[in-house]
Amino acid sequence: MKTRIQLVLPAAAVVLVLLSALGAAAQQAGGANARPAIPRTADGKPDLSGVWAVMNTANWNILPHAASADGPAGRGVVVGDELPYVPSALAKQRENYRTRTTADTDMRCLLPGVPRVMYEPYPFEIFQTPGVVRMAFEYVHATRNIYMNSPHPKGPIEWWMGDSRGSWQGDTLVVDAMHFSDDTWFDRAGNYHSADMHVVERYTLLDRDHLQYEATIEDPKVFARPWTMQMVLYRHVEPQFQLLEYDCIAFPDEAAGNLGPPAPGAQ
Amino acid sequence: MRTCTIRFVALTGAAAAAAMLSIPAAAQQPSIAGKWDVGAGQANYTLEFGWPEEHAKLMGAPSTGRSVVIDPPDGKIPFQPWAMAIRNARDRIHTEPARMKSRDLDSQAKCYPTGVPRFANRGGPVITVFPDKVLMQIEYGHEYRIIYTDGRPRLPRQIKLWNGDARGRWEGATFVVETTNLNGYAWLDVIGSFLSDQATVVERFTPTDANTMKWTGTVTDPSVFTRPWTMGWNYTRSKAQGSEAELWEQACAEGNHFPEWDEIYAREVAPKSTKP
Repeated sequence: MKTRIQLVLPAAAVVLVLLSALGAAAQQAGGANARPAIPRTADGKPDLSGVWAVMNTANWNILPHAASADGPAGRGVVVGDELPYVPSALAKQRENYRTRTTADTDMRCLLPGVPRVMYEPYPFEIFQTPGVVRMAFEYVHATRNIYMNSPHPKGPIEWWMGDSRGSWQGDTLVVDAMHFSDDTWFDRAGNYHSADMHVVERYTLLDRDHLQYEATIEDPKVFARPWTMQMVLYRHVEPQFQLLEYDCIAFPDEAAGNLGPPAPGAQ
Repeated sequence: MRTCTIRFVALTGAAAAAAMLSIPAAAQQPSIAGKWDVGAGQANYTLEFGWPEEHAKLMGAPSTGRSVVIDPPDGKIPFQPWAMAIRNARDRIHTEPARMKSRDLDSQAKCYPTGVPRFANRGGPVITVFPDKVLMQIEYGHEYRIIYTDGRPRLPRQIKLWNGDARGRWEGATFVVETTNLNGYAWLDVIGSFLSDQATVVERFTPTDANTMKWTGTVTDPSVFTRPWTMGWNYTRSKAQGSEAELWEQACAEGNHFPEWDEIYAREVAPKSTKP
């Protein structure tokens, strides 16, 4: 017994010394309140370039949910944990939920819309230039071209991914998106919007590898008031990580044997 | 204060160095960067025969009647006999929708990715050049290619992709792109020309003056062709300004109402339809 105590005490002391050393290093790096250094472009803006992805289950349900046959459990991404549906919109949400495995256009691998494309659980890359912030998604090779400091084109326009216009507010990239179609949902659970939806997104680097993402949704046809979702995008830090393809729309045709390169002597 | 001054000097120094390195070079050489137009009728219908009259009329483009295959000199794709038989069978059947099965239908009519080299054929690209990669986008099907120039190794051979795995390098002003890891699913034109998943495609993007870029694509695939072959044409720099120069949504799969495909899909493919 005595021997054991003697062993444990030095070990604890080593841990304490290590902890205080780490603390001192953190202090030296800029003090407890200093913001971590973030990468910046030549024009001094935060540099969002890189490959990012969420680590959450919002694609299945943006609200808090237990695990189910649809997918794993999740804390949800909606601020306040509730969606302010107008009473007349609730029935459609319930119908969407009931028919979700066929009615969710995402099940057919069609464009997922905004904001959902941001939390499809696959990597995407940001290509930042002063005039345009471009995004390329592995999922269904979706793209977004966010033109900076320019007006939305005149409607009426119904695009699956909407029209996105960006500006910098301090160190936050603010994206105003509109001109949507009503074909996309927020998630597999059938939470939905109308074609009148207006989205304001805010992208703020927390440090080099973490990007705070916030989207405020305004859609008076469906929601009684604007509401906000928040989540963190994580940088893929693997060296030379690169996007592949997830063109799932072709899987059924491939499974039916219709796509393979013809072999010599075939047909 | 002192820290601020030092930081300011360091930034200015870096900016000046960057300016000295990049701006004179950019001024001397025409760049591949920007938005490009491809002459209407660049052989999406057939690489070998040019635009036939009826398709030219349909597309509002002049009928060229000329192959875009520049090597071999006879303008013919050097298919091995078995491959030529498949291509010709597809060509015959593509005008007879009633006989068509999914296998006989152009991957483009199904709104699948264009593949490479056909990416070069679906409207001019918007090219953005970064120090370690080049992004190419076309409006058609919101497609993009990321071409890495940082010398990274190739993807493992097991990973096959519609648009392949592309590596780029600069030979003077020419941007040379070598693409492998193709899945061989994408047709090369409407009449059914094809390559296999063993193909290597080498493209050369050469700006010849401020407003012209020469493009060639060389296909090497000993499993399908008797020899490497090359197609080529010129891009012209787009004169579009403002919102006209923007990439807008072309949602192909989402709005696909190609009637034969709807029928074929329902009959042959939908029963197999699942998504994880």
